[in-house]
Amino acid sequence: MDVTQSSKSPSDWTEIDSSYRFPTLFLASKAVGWLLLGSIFSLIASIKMHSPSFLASCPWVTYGVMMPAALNAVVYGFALQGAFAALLWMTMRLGQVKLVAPGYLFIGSLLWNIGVFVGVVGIMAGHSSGHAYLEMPGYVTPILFAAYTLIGGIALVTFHKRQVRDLYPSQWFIFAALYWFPWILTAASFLLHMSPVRGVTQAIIGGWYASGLNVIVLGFIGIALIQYLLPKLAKRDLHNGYLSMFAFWVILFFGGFTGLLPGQSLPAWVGALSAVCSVFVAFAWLILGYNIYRTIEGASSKSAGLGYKFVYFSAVAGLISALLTAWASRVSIAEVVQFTLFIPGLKWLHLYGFVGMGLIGCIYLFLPKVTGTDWSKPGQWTAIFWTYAIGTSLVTIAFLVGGWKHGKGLINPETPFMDVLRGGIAPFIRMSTVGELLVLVASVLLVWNVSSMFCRTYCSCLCGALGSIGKAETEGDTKKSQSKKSSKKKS
Amino acid sequence: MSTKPKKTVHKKKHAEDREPGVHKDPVPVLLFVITLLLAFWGMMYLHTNAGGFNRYVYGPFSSYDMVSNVQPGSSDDPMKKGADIYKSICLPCHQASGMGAPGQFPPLIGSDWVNVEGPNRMLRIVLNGLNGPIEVNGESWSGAMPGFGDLIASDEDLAAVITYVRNSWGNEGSACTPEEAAAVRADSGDRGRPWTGPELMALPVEVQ
Amino acid sequence: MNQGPLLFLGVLCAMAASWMGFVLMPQVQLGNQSTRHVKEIGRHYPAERGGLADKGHDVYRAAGCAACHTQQVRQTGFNFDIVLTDAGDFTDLVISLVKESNSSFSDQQAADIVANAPRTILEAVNQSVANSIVRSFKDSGAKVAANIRPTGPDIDRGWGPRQTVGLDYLFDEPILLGNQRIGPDLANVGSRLTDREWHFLHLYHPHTVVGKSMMPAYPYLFETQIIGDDPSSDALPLAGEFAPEEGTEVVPTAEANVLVDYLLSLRISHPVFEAPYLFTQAEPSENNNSETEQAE
Repeated sequence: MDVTQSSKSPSDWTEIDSSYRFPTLFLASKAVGWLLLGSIFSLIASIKMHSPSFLASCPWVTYGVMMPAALNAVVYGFALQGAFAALLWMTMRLGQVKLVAPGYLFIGSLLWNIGVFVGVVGIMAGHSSGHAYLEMPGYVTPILFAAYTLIGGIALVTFHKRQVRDLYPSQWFIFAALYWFPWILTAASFLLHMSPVRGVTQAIIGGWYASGLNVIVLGFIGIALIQYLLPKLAKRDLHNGYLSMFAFWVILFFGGFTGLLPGQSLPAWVGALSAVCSVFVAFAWLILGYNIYRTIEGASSKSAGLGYKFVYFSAVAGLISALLTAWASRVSIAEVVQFTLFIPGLKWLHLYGFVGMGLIGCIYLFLPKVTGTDWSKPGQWTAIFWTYAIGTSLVTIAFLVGGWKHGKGLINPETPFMDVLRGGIAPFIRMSTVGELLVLVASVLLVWNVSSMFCRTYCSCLCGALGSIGKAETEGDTKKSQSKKSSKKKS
Repeated sequence: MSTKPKKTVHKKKHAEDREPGVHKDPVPVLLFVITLLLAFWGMMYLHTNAGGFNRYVYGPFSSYDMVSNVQPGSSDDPMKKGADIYKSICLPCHQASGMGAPGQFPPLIGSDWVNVEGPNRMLRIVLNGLNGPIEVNGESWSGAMPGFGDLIASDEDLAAVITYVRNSWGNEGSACTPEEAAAVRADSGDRGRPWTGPELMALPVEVQ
Repeated sequence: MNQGPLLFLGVLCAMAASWMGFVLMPQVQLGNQSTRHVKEIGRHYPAERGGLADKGHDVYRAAGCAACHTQQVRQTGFNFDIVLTDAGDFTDLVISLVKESNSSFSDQQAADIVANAPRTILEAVNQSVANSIVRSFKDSGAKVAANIRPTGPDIDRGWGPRQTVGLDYLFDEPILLGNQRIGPDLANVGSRLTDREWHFLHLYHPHTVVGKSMMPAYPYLFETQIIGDDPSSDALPLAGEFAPEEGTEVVPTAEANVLVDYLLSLRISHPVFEAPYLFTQAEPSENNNSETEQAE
């Protein structure tokens, strides 16, 4: 059957690409900044686990405050902002459409960063709401919602104005994520912060929000990225659009129900329903994985470049994460892994390994396109890939294996509790601290590279604008003059 | 594209920076078969593990009946006994929620006849019946309730159903003892006709 | 075919289904839960937490204690104890039935049990065995009870007599169930560790009472003050490396006090409908010694 393909020639992209330049550059640079801050908090928390006296006297950096602060910084500051940039880029390329109202998008991004900043400071000041993934105090949600109205709204309007009317599978995922996020945010914030429901109902709604955020909002952007970038970099077409359609509808309907393990202080049906839905989601992931595998079969990763490595890692991490979540929801396994380090391990695999790696790869591939300049030190990006990949893998494996040991110790009532921790899991926690240190190094390099690109783009524009008043084209670099011309066209 | 062999292979490469397209081949039937099998497994899993989607069933119990049957000493618990009696005798009119029916049967939930210090008046109503009009929570009700003194012959059962009504749906009343039930039955058991509102209001709420 | 509207409809349906499943249905089932009369304690449960303990709940939340401690006891199974509650009139028949139920009994032991009922016949049997034994006694005139006993690692560890259920968290806002056990479970800590001073010492520096603890210290919950004419009655008995400077003493702040009030209010000491077990009056509160090791 037909293969939909772009008929525009590459030289036409400049005008479209440059319309996204400032907003997405802003989003990307703020996103990696939040990753850095989140990594610092996460590292502090990790060190406290084996040196409890580290920074003990300050209530702003206790373990119980650093953990949620790190999580919220990474989820809302890095992952969601990076996701916004990624979905804008994908809409740009797949719909072949210029960005609508970039100024409002910038205001939205600014508001979003203000909201996350106020939220993270609020958590550190002791105003944490106590609900996982929604620890930011209730007064932050209106700011985030207002920011999202601008960002998501503009993304949807841009999507609506697309030139290519046929939808590539990634666009379905983006569309669903764009609608899902404000819905779960408002519902959860209302029912947990503003007009709290009673007792354990809070826990169920909190779990619903967390799985919606992880599996549908962030997960869908991650899936959109791997479905778009892997075929693109391998220079192939997607193997079978109907398989993607199947995966889309299954994960859409069942993804919001995963994550609530059986055996908690909730009625039996909650855990059972969650377990069944996790299995369906894992099956959909297998289909998705099969589809992508058949697409890229035989392609050589060497010719595809470094970006391919990022996205490939992300795809494998996503698949393993979905399979492990389904496995952990079986009653006999949940009994062991519940309340252990295994759960943060799954979180690391999903958030950092799957979504994070995909977003970093996306930043690596798209920022040069929208700014028209190349990375000044491509060698550093290899370093970023390896430190991030090894760091994330170390933390994930340490938590998954350590968590299993932790759980096995806990379910044996003969083992004293202290021995379970000190003897059993302490070496794994140390291993995870090393991993987190590596992720911190990767985020430092990321911030360095993205900021320098930001500076080069806008410093060169500024210099060029000044230079064009007095002198003519004495800069010499054709790329620089191209960006000058396109910025002049914009203004 | 030419006719499809069993395993379609799409290996056409294209130019730099070109957006990928999508092939739309027929989906293998195996996918639907596996999906149906998974759906069947899911339903069986929910059947065994979801406790009938009942709010009172927590793991490892598998149904409401199981939880209800393993309650220790449940046959002696006045609330359980009272609940059983209420279900068979009182529920048809006063409903499972204790709300009654507007214009016909007054509510027991939050009723100012129930939430008083003693069960004297309640015991008499259940033993002999009540002919309206009476005022319940400021509203006027005029109906007729038959007596159940013969049907609820044992004092333990009578005390149990009164205790149940005084402690359900948010009512916070004290329990009724079998001795109190016996005393009231002795006092008024052979009355033979229903009470009226003014007669009951003239009596104290505590059992003498 | 314009895919946009179709996609939107599909997403809308998925959102509605998701919302109905995990927001509406739990709210309908559990959102209107109210306190319930529990016959074992003769009053409604749960009682609202007192004002101080409520403030303590807030301190618990702000310090992020839920990052390491759970407040949920799990139950993974159950078994039954068979108790002969009333021997009835047909003594010989009942003795033979008792011997049939528990083959390890001698004639004398079985007669003893029948003579001195209520007595336990069998312990920790599964449901089918329990049912068959109860059935066998049905027409004998004797009464036997199969008393359920919850089992599971948390319960065997002494973290609670039963699993926690929705009713236990009725007045918690926000609910702080926790999802990591870097520290032990706290759902029943008020029954298990009843000494106020132990809690103060543990919060000041866990190593004062638990040598191998991984818990960080919370010195900001305490004040070091100069000893006045007499040492304060609230001063912590610190010794060795933890003792404050000469002439000063460590006293808990208001925050520490309410936090300990909250911890001591965490009890699940009686059965509820969803988590039944046989309640015995005046349950001993065992100090679980695996948690309280003396400092070196």
